[in-house]
Amino acid sequence: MKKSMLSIKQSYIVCAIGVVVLFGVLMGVCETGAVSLYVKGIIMTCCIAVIMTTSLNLTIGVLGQLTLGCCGFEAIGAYSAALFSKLLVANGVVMNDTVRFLLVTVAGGLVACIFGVLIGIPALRLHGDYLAIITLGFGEIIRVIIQNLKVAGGEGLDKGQQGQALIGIDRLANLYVVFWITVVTVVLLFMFARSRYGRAVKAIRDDEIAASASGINITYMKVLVFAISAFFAGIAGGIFAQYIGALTPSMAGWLQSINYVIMVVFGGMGSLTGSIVSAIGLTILPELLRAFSDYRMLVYSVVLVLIMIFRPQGIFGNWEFSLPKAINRIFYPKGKKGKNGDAGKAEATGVEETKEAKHE
Amino acid sequence: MRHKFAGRAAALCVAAAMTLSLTACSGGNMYATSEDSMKLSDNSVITLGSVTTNSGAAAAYGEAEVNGFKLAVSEINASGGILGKQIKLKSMDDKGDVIEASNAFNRLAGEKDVIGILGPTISSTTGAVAPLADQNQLPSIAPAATSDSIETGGYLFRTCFKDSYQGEIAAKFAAEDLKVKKVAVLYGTGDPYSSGVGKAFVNAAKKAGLEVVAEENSSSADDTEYSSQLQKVQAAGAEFLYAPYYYSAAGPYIIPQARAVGYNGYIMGPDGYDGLQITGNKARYNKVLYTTHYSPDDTSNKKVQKFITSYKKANNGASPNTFTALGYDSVYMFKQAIEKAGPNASRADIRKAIYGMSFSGVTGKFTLDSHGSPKKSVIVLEMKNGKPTYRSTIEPAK
Amino acid sequence: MGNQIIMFISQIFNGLKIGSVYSLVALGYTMVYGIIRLINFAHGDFIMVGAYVLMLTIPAIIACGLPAWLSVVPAILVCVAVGVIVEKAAYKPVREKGNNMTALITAIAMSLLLENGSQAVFGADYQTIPTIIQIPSIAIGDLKIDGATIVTVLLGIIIMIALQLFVSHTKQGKAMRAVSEDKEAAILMGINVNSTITLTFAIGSGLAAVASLMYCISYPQVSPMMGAMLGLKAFVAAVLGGIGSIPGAMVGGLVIGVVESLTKAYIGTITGGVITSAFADAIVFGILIIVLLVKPSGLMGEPESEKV
Repeated sequence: MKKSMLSIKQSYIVCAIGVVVLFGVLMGVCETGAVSLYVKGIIMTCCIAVIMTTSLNLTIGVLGQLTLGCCGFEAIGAYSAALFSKLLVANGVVMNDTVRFLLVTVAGGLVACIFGVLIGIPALRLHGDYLAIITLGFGEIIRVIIQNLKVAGGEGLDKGQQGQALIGIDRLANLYVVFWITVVTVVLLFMFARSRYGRAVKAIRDDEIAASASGINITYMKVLVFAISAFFAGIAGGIFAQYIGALTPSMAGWLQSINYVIMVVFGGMGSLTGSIVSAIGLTILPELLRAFSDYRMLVYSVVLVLIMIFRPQGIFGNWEFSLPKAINRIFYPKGKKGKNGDAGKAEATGVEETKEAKHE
Repeated sequence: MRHKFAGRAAALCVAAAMTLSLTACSGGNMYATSEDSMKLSDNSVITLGSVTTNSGAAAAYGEAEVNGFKLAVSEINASGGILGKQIKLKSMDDKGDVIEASNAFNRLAGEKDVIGILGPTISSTTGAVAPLADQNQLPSIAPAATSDSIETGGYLFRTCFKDSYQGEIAAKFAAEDLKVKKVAVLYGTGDPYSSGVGKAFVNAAKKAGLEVVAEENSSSADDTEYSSQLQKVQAAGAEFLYAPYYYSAAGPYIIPQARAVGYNGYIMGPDGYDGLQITGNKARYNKVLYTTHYSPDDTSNKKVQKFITSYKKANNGASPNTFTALGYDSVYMFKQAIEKAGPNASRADIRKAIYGMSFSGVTGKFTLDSHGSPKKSVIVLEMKNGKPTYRSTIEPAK
Repeated sequence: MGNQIIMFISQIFNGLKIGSVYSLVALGYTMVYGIIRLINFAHGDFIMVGAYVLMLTIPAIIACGLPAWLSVVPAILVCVAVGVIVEKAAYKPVREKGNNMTALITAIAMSLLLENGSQAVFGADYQTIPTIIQIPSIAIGDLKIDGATIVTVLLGIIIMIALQLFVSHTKQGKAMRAVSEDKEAAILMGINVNSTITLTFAIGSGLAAVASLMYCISYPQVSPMMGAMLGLKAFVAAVLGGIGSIPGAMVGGLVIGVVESLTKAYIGTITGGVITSAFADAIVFGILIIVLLVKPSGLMGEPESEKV
């Protein structure tokens, strides 16, 4: 039986190779000039959407709490990163573009994370509908505050005025770097979801009172998940700021957040694979159907209702794609499927993520 | 457990190191610095791209612009084209979204036969596209994006006057033409257009010696209830209220509510009032004025009547609006620049030809300043009997 | 000083003008939430549907020689139909299979569907509504009170009392309360739960049509997105009053309206310009957050404990 399976170590290697191959393809098409700037822009947008959707899925799918304020955190991350970047330049700090990009992006993520904790502690005392509404409220407050902050309009900086879009942000986002940030994000989220913490979080989702009775610190876990989600939303915001180069407060609005909620729900609550697929799909689809764009949201809403009625768990449910498993299936067809590790429940790995099997 | 984490951390470090070394490769860059654009002589037609907002909340503006582009292109093509070549228009919709606008602009920039861009429509998308225009070295003319902050002084130009200019003109008009003393202002802080124009008005009013008795804000430019702020304006004894909003807020909400709280002075707005619809009692809309780019009643400019006639002929008798006129002029600006740059011009040559150009069109005579914005004459319209009527033309300060 | 007091009272009435509309909308929210514990996100959009019906039917009603406000009748019919269809086609199947979260997502989806559907049908443009009725304003000394505000407040109070009587004294009303208390027990008592819920939706949607009439008298313009913010604010009002409580919705709506108005009028002066009237929306949501954290049952709701 063991012979027919890839070992855990081999699974890691297979996944790593998978990611590198994917990157090789990306580099190949970019370096040879096979794709235009336009396609690169879409790939960049896909990466941002993947980070937003997978991190939001941690709260919605794994923790089971609906939040409608993820774009508030994205906006905090974006504005912090943009202002930090401007600050570095204004103070004459000279550094490599990539280093500066990474530094300010992570700074944006951290600021968003701090706000995630500050908002999460009170908000997560509520759940269900009330949590959704309170996060929506926080998102709107963030938007109004950004609107009224002098510095967020660029007042007092090189140019700009309160109430205006923040512009002149150095466009340092490099597609390769962003690709790797996306990979790292997905890997970390995957590792978290499959770790002891992740299992505790799922226990909370399935039965809060039982989880509490088993000694899980519910508040701590909830705030932790919320903060992690906020951190990666902030990272996505930082990338966005340095890709687009101009920010408006409307990016924090709740309608924007709903877009990402739609992506999570389409893909499947709890499935990172689903989030990745739907984030990429729902980013590319409107580009392919430009002529159809007037009816995009109309179709989304109908499909959303149908999914809720016929497949409430989303297209992929909580299923994860696994490269080693797929390889196993190809090389060792049916009947030889064995169980991996000693816990017996392990699903191997995701499309571009390594993970450990469930054993302590 | 521990060594597993160490292993993973090491893997991540390797990935990070790889990434850093890879950034030396150019493929990951999100813009092309020296993309060889084609010259005009490489193609049998001249291709202009357009990025406008044709769906979403600002769709009406983008549609009107595209109508203007189409009219100008068909006129030019009918009269022999530019330098003997026909013009082709490649239109794309940005949905009023910054990402969509960037993607659409990048797409057109990557098509080497595209020699210039018309658009984008609104200030937020233009702000996102402005650095792209510079980085891709693709000359762009935004017909109606009025925000001050989009100026780069590089490849982005515009046909309309900018927000601060409009606020200054309004202050000048209040002081010199209406001869009022006490003025008030109400603007939406959340809206770049509204707050940009409003703040410029306050500064200019103070300079012009007017007393600003009230400076009120609303959250956004699409609130429905302004009575509280208007009550304060009324109580402060203002004779003139400057309320830079869109027609959709001014027509049904601000003006009737101002009259309802007992304010009977002047109300003035910017070009966003274009398309103002009156509701209920017409008399409430008396003493309402707004600045705009062009007036169909303006008999001093012959091009206006010609434009209106040919637009009506091409569109089953429908009337053009300001955005159509600005779009129409933008195409003619390209025509003038391409003719000046000559048959061998590249994108960069055309940009040079636009820079600082003097132009005379439907929306007036103007010269582009070093930031790419025109100093041009402003038309003031006044609501009379529920209809906007031509009042005066304010020439730019020399 | 006298001027200041008149100013203050005027500002309160300015607040009541929008607050009374919030109240009417909040009543609909609270009816639906009370019975199926679902935040009907689409409720704000029922107002939008009603407003479009008003816009389309007013010319016909006037042509028939009837007063324009009678167009509320077709508006009520259409809104009730839309509300019942939404319940039957979407909410009911989801309620039977899914959990709270899927129900909420369905509500959001219905809201998006109505907004984008009407955008596809009517276009994204703003359209004005002809004058429905001229209600003269009342002048008491220097104080001028908008007539429409008084009518809306009175209408809200009448509807509130009617609903309260309906819920406590009629058979259907008692059935509603029973379903709201305990669905399973209600079934055992021979109550037809589904038809009771449908009736609730019909009443809630009908109220939305009345609210859209009063909204359009004061704010004569329609657009596909008009219900979104109005719905959110009304929801805040319902939570503030105690969601599920009928008088609470009425009081909550008026309080939110007055708070908004007083914020716009005085906060700049009080805080020395640090916080301006542009923060009005943030303050409304701030109230929501504080209420939810401090007293989730609201001003007039009954506290509810978590069941295992």
